[in-house]
Amino acid sequence: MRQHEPDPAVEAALDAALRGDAVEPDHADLAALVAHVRAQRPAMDPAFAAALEERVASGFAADEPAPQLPARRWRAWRPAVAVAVAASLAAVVVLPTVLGEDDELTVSEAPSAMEEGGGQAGGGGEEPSRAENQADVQSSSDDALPAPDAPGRAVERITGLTLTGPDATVQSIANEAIAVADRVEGFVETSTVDVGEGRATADLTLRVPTDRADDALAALSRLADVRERTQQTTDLTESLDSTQERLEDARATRDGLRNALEEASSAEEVTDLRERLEEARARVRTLGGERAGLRERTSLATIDVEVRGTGGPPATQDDEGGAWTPGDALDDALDVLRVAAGVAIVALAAAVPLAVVLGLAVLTVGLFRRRVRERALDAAA
Amino acid sequence: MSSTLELEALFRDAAGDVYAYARTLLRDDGAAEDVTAQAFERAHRRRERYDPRKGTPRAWLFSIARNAALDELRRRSRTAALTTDLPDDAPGLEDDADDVVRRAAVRAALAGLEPRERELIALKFHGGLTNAELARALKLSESNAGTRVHRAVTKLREACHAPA
Repeated sequence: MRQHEPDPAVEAALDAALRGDAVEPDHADLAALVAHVRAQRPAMDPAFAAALEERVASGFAADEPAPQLPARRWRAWRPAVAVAVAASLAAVVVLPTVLGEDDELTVSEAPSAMEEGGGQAGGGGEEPSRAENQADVQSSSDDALPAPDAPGRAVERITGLTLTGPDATVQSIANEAIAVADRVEGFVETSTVDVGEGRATADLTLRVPTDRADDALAALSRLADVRERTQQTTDLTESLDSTQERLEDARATRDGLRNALEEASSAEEVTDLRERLEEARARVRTLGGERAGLRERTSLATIDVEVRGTGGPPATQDDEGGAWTPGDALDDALDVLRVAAGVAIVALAAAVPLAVVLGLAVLTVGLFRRRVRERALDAAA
Repeated sequence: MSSTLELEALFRDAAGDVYAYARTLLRDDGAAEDVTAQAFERAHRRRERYDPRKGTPRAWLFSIARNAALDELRRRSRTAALTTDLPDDAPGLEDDADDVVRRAAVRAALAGLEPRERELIALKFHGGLTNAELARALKLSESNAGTRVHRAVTKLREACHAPA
């Protein structure tokens, strides 16, 4: 055993001597050393000892209150600061998320004016553009269409609806949209579904009876998340009235020519009347078609449905609309927990490096203070 | 250390030892009294922070006392050698010539130790600390504290037996 390594026998003898116990004869000099060092032990002045004991017994009550160390003040404020930091982090993390989600649900406005030029066919543009182009474009997140026009007015309605859902649900959403059109006695004008690797979209143009358009839109809005909705109404009453008047005039002209033909006496007169009668009949057909087109536009609302896949997993049954069920509540609770966990992770991500830096700073200060103190001991040599 | 009563018990048990340690280190009666008072005052203020799992109350008190003593040393910029400025008429020993010679040799041996070694002797012999308590007070491992004590005692014994 090396000289400076503790010898258990010596250690035991030293401890025994310090306790005042007897030691082995081999260590008698150690016991003597302890006795001689202890004999030189400084003793407290009895008066000082008594005064200090009194102060200890009173809990240093008579002393001036010791100034609170900065560290103690910090400890007192620490819980409040921790709560403030946590609240700030939560605000920083949660608010943008919530606001961001709201921002995604936009209702855009479509271009409004739709010029409805009258007399395109047959009339040769004798009808001027009229006040029917007061396209009433309205945007709303409600399911209802814009307020219906006054009774007796002929209004065309066109609604654009953008629905979003996981890729795997795009096909089923499109199928449901077609079913909605059937339920309100409408039909599908066009339909395109494109589902494949990395893409999932569907575009449908539904035509539904105008008086059931609200029901159809409400049903469609429940199929998936509504991301965008545009609505446009155009008052075609004057166009329809004008077309009707011109059609009646054309019919009267045709009937007059037909009567005149029956009474014609010369071959030239017959030929001329027949040509004019053909023109009149053609004009009646054109205006009749124009009137039918206008009636169709006002009697059937157009709903353009665009379904966009978001790429996520398919929606579950619980995601569908309807009453708020315990299952929905469970999902909401899980969402809250997920958000809370996210906030906690972000807070930890911010707090851990900060804590490490603070810890290192505290450690460094502690080591520095200890070194300074130890230097005082070395300087006493 | 959660009550005044326990602090009082600690005072009765260790106040004299703390003073002896501080007096040995500072070589000044007044400074030793100041450090002893400061140690108990700080212990009173910090009594809620005492954790029994980290050591005995005695080790905790000596850790505080040591910091106060070193602060005092630093504050006063005193380069006092840790010679034991002790009275020659220590009580309890035979007053024969051999003892007088032996005590003088011990005093000289102590004076010849390094400051840290003399502090260890003061903590061990006057403070009565175990190696574990020493380790706690000096912020060392217990084995390291034991080794240092052993070296200091060995050196002191050798110095005492060295020819004058």
